[in-house]
Amino acid sequence: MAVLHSVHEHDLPYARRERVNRWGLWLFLISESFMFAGLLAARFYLWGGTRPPLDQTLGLLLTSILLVSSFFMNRAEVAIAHDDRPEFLRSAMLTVVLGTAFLVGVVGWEWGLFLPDGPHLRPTDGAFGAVVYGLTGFHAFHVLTGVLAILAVWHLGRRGHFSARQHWGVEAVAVYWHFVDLVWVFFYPALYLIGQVVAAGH
Amino acid sequence: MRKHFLRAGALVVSLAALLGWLAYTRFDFFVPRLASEEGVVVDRLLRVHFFLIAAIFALVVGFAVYSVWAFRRRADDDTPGAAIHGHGGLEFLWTVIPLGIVLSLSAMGVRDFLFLRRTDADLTVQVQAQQFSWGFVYPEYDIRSPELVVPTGQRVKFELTSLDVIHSFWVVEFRIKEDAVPGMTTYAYVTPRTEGEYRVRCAELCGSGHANMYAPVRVVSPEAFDAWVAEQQAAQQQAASPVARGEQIFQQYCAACHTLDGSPKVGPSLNGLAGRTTTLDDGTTVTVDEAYIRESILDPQAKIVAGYPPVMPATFGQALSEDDLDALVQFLLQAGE
Amino acid sequence: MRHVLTTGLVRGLVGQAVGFALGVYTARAWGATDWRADGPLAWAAVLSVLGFMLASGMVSDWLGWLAGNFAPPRHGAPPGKPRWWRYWSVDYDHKVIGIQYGVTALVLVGLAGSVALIFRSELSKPGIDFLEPAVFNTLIGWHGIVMIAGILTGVAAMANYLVPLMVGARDMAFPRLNAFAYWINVPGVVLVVLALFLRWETGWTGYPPLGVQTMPGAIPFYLGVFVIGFSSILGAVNILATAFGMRAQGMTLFRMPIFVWSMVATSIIALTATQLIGLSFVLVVLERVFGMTFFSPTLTESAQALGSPPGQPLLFQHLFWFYSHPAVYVFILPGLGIISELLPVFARKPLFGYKWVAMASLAIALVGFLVWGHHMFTSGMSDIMRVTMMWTTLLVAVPTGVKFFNWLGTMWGGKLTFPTPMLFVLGALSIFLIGGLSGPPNGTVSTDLFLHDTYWIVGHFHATMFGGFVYPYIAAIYYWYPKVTGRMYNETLGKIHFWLMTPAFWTMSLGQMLAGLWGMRRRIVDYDPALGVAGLQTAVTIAAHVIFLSMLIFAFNLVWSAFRGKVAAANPWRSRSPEFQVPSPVPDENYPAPVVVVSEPYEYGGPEPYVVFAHGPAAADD
Ligand code: HEA
Ligand code: HEA
Ligand code: HEC
Ligand code: CUA
Ligand SMILES: [Cu+2]
Repeated sequence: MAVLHSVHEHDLPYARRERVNRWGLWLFLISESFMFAGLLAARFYLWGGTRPPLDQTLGLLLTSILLVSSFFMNRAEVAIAHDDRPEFLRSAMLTVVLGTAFLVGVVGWEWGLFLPDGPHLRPTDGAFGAVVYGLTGFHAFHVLTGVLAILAVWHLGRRGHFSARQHWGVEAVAVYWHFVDLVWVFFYPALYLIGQVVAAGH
Repeated sequence: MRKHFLRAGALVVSLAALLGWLAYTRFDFFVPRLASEEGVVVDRLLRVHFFLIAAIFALVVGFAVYSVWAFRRRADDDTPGAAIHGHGGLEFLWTVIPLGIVLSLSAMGVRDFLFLRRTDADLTVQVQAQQFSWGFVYPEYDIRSPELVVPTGQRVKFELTSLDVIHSFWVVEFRIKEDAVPGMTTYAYVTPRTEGEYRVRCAELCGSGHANMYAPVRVVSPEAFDAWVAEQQAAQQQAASPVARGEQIFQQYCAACHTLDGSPKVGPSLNGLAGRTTTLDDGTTVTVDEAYIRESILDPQAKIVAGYPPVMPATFGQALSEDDLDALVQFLLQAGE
Repeated sequence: MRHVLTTGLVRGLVGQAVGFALGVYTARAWGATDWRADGPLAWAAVLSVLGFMLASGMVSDWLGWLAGNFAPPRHGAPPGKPRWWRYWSVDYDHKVIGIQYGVTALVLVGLAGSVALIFRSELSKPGIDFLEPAVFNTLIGWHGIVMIAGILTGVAAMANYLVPLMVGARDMAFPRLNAFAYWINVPGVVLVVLALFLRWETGWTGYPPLGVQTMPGAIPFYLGVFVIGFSSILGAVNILATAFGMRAQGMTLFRMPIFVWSMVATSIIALTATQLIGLSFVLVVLERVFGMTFFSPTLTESAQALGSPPGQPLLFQHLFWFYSHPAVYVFILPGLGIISELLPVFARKPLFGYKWVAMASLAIALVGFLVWGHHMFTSGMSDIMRVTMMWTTLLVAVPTGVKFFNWLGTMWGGKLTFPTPMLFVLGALSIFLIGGLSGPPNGTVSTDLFLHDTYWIVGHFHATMFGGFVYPYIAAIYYWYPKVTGRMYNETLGKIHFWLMTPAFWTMSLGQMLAGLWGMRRRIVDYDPALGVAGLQTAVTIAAHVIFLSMLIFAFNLVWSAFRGKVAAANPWRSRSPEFQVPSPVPDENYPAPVVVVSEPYEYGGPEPYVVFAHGPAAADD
């Protein structure tokens, strides 16, 4: 059975390989954080001290789901580090479920795909619509890639990959997932909490 | 080494002095005519910059050229160069001196910028930019004009707006430039000082007509300006008839793209419009009537004339009042009859 | 012929065409009538990039991992394929990728340069002769963006080929990612080419609202540039990981070759700032496709009812320049690194003030993040921002100056020789100097109110880019040519190239600057003869043709010498750098044994070599 290190590069020993990989992952996350910071900057530039009326319950719910999912992702990583494969698979799958729930929440309710008379805020609704859909859209895309990545390591894990000593793949996916959650920790207040709600009507 | 240093130093200093002096004293060769007080300030700092460019260029290139000549390898000399690794004192010097220079430049920049942006003004002109023409409104006198006329010696505040995309208001001889941005009002201040005829040139890429987005500018004496104002006000009175008002509006908003002499420009010519049959780009034809003209102005993308690009701005509905629109349509209905 | 059809390039392009067709087809099926409408076009463009990725083989290893298939890295042509095949297909060797980048860069510069000749001919006299305004506007923007893509690929070429060799590694930190980063450029460039035919009028800066209203070419333009930017980001990840994680034993940070330092500084910018041009371009596409008004100040009725604020044109400029200013340092820092790298070799003495030169690169990169507003001095940005950005902008002159003075120190007291690479280094030095010095007048806000958007600026940036990229890149190609091909270029042709190109360049750049001062605006198809610039414009056009001619001589030299040149020695320049201690061309695995650094990189005349090859097992693992 191939183990991850034999792929992961020709002549570097696993420990060194892992260190280089960590460099790569963290650099990539630094890069991504600039993109998210740009979106946040756009939000403050366009909205200033105002915000649109958004569904507070939904916002709180989504945030909780995502935070809980991070907990399970962490459990999955710890489990594989202790060679506890069943626990790893269970926790990873739970994370996938929670991540999917988050996506469904955003797309189905905040974007109104599941609401009978559509969303109360449309993407064409000035800077309000643009920013809400822009920020949630970029974030949801990352959640989606995160879910797919967790599914990938789950699938590999089921086929016997990863061990206590060699589980760089799981670590990478976990770090990425925490990062995506952390981004939401900034987005949530920026969209739902900060600023005065502009009264509807003129 | 000391010998080299003295020689190179002499070369560099004389070269820097020569080039710097040339750039400074021959400054007028580099810049166009000047017609505003603000321009005096801009040119003053620009001249300092030119002096520095010339001097620093001479300094660096002087040393380089000297080295190329004095330290070239002689045939069959295979020894390495001097084992110099660096020099802390020199590094310090060539960090601190340029730092001093740029800080002084910034300070001069601040001084001049504050002068340019003082908010006192004797006259306000609203500049309305659109693809691809300029309109000038004098709110204090209730005048609208396609030509910019300003008196010498008075500080003019320009309030810039744009109907469609970003344009930039620039008169070379005034030096100052400022963008006209849709959705916001920007400001520029100019005190004209030399009578003459100039041009507003749009300095921000705004589409196909950008290159020729000009408006005439006349700087006149204060007396001549008063006379012009009176004349315009009188004309505006007479233009009470809708058709005459419509013609004014046409000149301001439409003439950049449409003629009244039958020749096409960016869009089709608009003379003899009423009643003619127009072929659209989907092959159908329409007979031009008042409703079609209105639609063409308010929602130009609705029907596109065959052979022309769909570039007519859709913003006239906002720019023109109901009355203006009526007057314009009246004018177009009879144009070229 | 059979082999040509199986190359990754050809398969990828076919995949891209299929992806595009699929996009158009599905859009039709969903009821779109015109594939050139924003939605269908954007959709087809995205699918086309995916199509390229799948068909070219650039992601096949990763897809294999998902199935638990861990194939070893691909090196060399597969059995039954000729040797050249690997250069046209996905290969993980950093030297192959470096060459792929390098040739791509020359092709892009050649294309963009040819386009420059077209619109320069239009400009050689007043009046509109043969280019419609809309075509002219498209051409200048295309020229600008393709040149920039050419620079980015050229920089990546030098980085890929040299950084692993210089740090004594066998390859980059992530060879698959490296190949991915190269290949993703190809569909990006194809999209930009599509933009040329569909037309868009904004120039390379793509400012909305014009960018939202202009012709459909804007969509492939924005998306293509986004994809190319993505490549930059991934490349930067790789280079930083290589420089920090893959250095040979004994190579402390301050014993790295100076070029590696400059690539570290460059990559810091490319890693972070690039995200913002990508973001700004995607937001415009979203505005065009879904009507999300980030940048246009118009409000729909329902938005008004909600009390929503409008979009703002200036937001785009902030996001855009937050990348595009630092990007100009991405263009030059590697070039300045090449100058610092070659001067000691041709002066036969140590690099003067090594640490200062290294730190100056970092300083330029970091201060470069704080100056973006100097492109917006006339944009209507607040006065406070304008003044702040002026102070920061001018500060960049200081570390740049430090580099210049250290170069002078390096030449001083040396034993200088002047083969072609050294000529181009000296040319670069003087040209970048005039380009850099023409920066401060733009940087002081009051004078920029005059200079902004004139040909003065055009002259400024052509001088910086020629001096900071084109000349050093050419110098690097001549210098490492024997290392790459195993043969020597033709020295006479090289000298002719230099002596034709340099005076022509000076004519072009100074002509542009002067025309600008006399009132010539940028980006105009037709100019006012009253400005008196017609003579200058003619001179610039002629000079442009001479530059082009000289570059043809260069191209001929490169191709001809690859077959007929003298066989090169291992170390024709007597350099201390590790790559010159192995045979030319560099063997597949780079070094016969792990590299160990035993002294300073530029100790010419010193008793010890810079590196030795360790024998026995890799000691570098810590
Ligand atoms: C390779 C690219 C490159 C480089 C290196 C630079 C370097 C600099 N640039 Fe340039 N610039 C561009 C590429 C580049 N630029 C491009 C492409 C545009 C136009 C974009 C567009 O609109 O399309 C532009 C536009 C541009 C503008 C906007 C102009 C406008 O549109 O109105 C400004 C304004 O401040 C500016 C300033 C500077 C400054 C201060 C530097 C400094 O970094 C220069 C520093 C160097 C020196 C000063 C010389 C060496 C120093 C010494 C020898 C020490 C002593 C010197 C002093 C004390 C002064 N540049
Ligand atoms: C690297 C960057 C680069 C380079 C090298 C050039 C090179 C040239 N540029 Fe360009 N230019 C830009 C970057 C560059 N430019 C940018 C960013 C803009 C702004 C665009 C905008 O406003 O949106 C611009 C704009 C611009 C304008 C202003 C247009 C306008 O505002 O209206 C003009 C006008 O004269 C011009 C002219 C030229 C000319 C004549 C050359 C000549 O030097 C070209 C000579 C030809 C070559 C250098 C190519 C030769 C190569 C080969 C023949 C291939 C060889 C092949 C092998 C070796 C395999 N350029
Ligand atoms: C930026 C250029 C531009 C401006 C400014 C402009 N137009 Fe047009 N116009 C066009 C073009 C191009 C067409 C042809 C394509 C189309 O039908 O949209 C056109 C078409 C028309 C038509 C239909 C003509 C026909 O033959 O059927 C009318 C009427 C018209 N414009 C009126 C106006 C009026 C009135 C104004 C000023 C308030 C104006 N236009 C300003 C570019 C412009
Ligand atoms: Cu208006 Cu350019
Ligand atoms: Cu800049």
